[in-house]
Amino acid sequence: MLGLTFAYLRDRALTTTLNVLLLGLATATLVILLLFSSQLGERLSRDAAGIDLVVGAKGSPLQLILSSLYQIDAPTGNIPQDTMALLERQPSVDVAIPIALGDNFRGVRIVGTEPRYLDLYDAKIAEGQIFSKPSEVVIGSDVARKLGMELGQRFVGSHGLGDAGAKHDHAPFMVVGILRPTGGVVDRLIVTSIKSVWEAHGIHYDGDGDHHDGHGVHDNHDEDHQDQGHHKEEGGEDHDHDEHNGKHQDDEHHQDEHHDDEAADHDQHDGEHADHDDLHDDEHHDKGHDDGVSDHDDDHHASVEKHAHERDVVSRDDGVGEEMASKDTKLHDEKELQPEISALLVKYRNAALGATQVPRLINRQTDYQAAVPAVETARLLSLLGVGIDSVRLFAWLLALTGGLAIFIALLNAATAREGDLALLRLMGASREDVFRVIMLEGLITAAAGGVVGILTGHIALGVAASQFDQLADLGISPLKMLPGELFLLLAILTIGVISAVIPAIRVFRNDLAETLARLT
Amino acid sequence: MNERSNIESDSSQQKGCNVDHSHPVLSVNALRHVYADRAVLDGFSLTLNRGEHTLLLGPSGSGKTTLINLICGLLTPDDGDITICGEAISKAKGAQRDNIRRRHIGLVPQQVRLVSALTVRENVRLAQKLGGGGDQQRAEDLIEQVGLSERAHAKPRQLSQGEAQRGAIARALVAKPALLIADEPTAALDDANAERVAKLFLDAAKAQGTTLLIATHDARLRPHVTKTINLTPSEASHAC
Repeated sequence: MLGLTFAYLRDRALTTTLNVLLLGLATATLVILLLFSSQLGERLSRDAAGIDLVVGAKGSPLQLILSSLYQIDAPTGNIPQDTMALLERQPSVDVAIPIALGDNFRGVRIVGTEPRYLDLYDAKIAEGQIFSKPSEVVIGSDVARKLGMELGQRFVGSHGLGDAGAKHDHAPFMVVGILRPTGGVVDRLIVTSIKSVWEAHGIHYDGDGDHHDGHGVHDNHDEDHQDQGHHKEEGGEDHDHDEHNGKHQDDEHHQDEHHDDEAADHDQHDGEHADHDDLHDDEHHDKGHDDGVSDHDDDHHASVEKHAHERDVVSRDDGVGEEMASKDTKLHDEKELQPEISALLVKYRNAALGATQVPRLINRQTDYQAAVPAVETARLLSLLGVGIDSVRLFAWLLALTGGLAIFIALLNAATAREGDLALLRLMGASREDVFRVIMLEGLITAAAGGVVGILTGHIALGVAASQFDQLADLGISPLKMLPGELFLLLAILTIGVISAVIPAIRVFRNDLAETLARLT
Repeated sequence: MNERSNIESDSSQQKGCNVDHSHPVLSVNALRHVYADRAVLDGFSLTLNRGEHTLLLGPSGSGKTTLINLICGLLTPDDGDITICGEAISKAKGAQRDNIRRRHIGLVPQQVRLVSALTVRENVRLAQKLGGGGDQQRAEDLIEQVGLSERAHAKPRQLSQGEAQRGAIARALVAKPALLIADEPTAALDDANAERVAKLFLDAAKAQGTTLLIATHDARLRPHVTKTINLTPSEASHAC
């Protein structure tokens, strides 16, 4: 009966083809949506790499996340490199990894960072070694494959994120390592030290080289801390409490500038102030200043209350805000000398505490912004979700239309084939046999539509990914098969079965003698 | 699958009907069938033995088609018995009735002769499979016997009326039925063509050793058969 079913399908080839195409189109649309939304969600989650917070220049928080974590948008701006020191002093912060963006090579982003960035993605060296000097880079596996780059290859980056920018001929890079595939964003990047990026942009921070090397190139976190401490002593920004209070008074105008809008919120201030006490205590503990902590706290409270009452200014923290104010002033003074970064990727040591304190610290007490990847990613998926759901609804309507077309075609065929089916019964076919013929027609048409749709969906996504860089940047793979596609195929087959069942029942119930009498 | 397997098994045994002379090929006994409050057949009896070629002659409305439908198990008689090769098709139900028909009867209806989506060869092969399978060469031989070797690949809509009828004969005979029934095979044909068609049926039936029953109102076929049963309303109760 299978042969007869195929013969009937061939016999009305045009109708069959149109029905298959209709179902195929619906299936392809659903497959594309499935692949896109599923892989986008996976990719966003994987590329987030457990980062809890991204700190960068003010602007769209979504843009900050997209540019810094997912490498698919322009950075919001730059922030001073020593913002990192502020964050690393927070006890709830585990790591703060700087990244510097702004250049590309043939459209591939060059990311200035630390080797710790690669650890986020568990990226291992496949060939060569990690970068250790300025101008050395490691490249992602996709970059090596697509651009055919090899170890020892020298190249010059272009300014901007497109290939048309001015070339930094004075600062060529050299490939010293190729990474193993990770399936993450790092596969599509050229990674180097921050100092490399600074040098490409003509920033030579030789006057404070130890400091900048420590933050930009060193791969040892402990060394960073040591360097920071050293720097603070040299820079006169030590957390000595007396000096701290003195600076607080000196920088009164800066505090006003930053915190006027919050000055009236005394209750909130008290709460946050308490939080900050903890932070400050921990900070001192970390630095080995166990003694004198309570004295420090007492002095600190007195100091803040004095500020609040005497100057009508409520300072939110006892050291950090002031330190930032001081640094801001210094940054303004040394703007041309101060190296900058695009963003800091932050992981919390204590997620609950970090989520409560750090974003607030950044957003309220600095000129920068803190964006939470989980929140922004959810917002992005929610925004996309509306569109995806609309297209999905349309596709299901298309699939139902396909089912209706199969139903009409089979109903017409069942009527037109009354004689044929009666003859089949005379030849010895049972009622069940002719029922099966009609059911198989519906099922085969739906199956063909489903398979054609799945193949078309994958091919269309592959073509789109090859034509649109944005899709390629998202890492959408047309070759990946999802379990959801099997369920989709089953749903399409169900539509085919439902479409065929009424015509098949009608044929099953046909009175053979009556049919023959009518036809003779 | 079980049903089909049983059919194949039964078929190989039931082909023995053709050599089992203990039962007539067709036995109709005291048949009564009422249609629209009118007794179309009342007490009708008929026996056909192996190799007999019989003409069931009667005008329209005489009950020929009703009788054929009853013999083929498409209708259930109100009274009386019909057995094919000893199997009571009139008492059988559903699949069992289909089974008896499949194994013993080849029917060539007046209008519908071949499955429209299949070629002549595919029609014959399908009928062979439904009848229990068999040698593909037999299908080819039958197609050649009815003179359609050159047109075996054609679909019914590409055939002339005569070609379609020849294809239908090959299709009806391929499963080695004990009884070949033709319903009005010469309707609307001129004398020459009627003669040719009658000869075709007779030759094919003879070659296969099949019992032939032709239901027709066409008296021109009378000289070609060995037995004629006149079926008129008044003779519907006639017993042979």
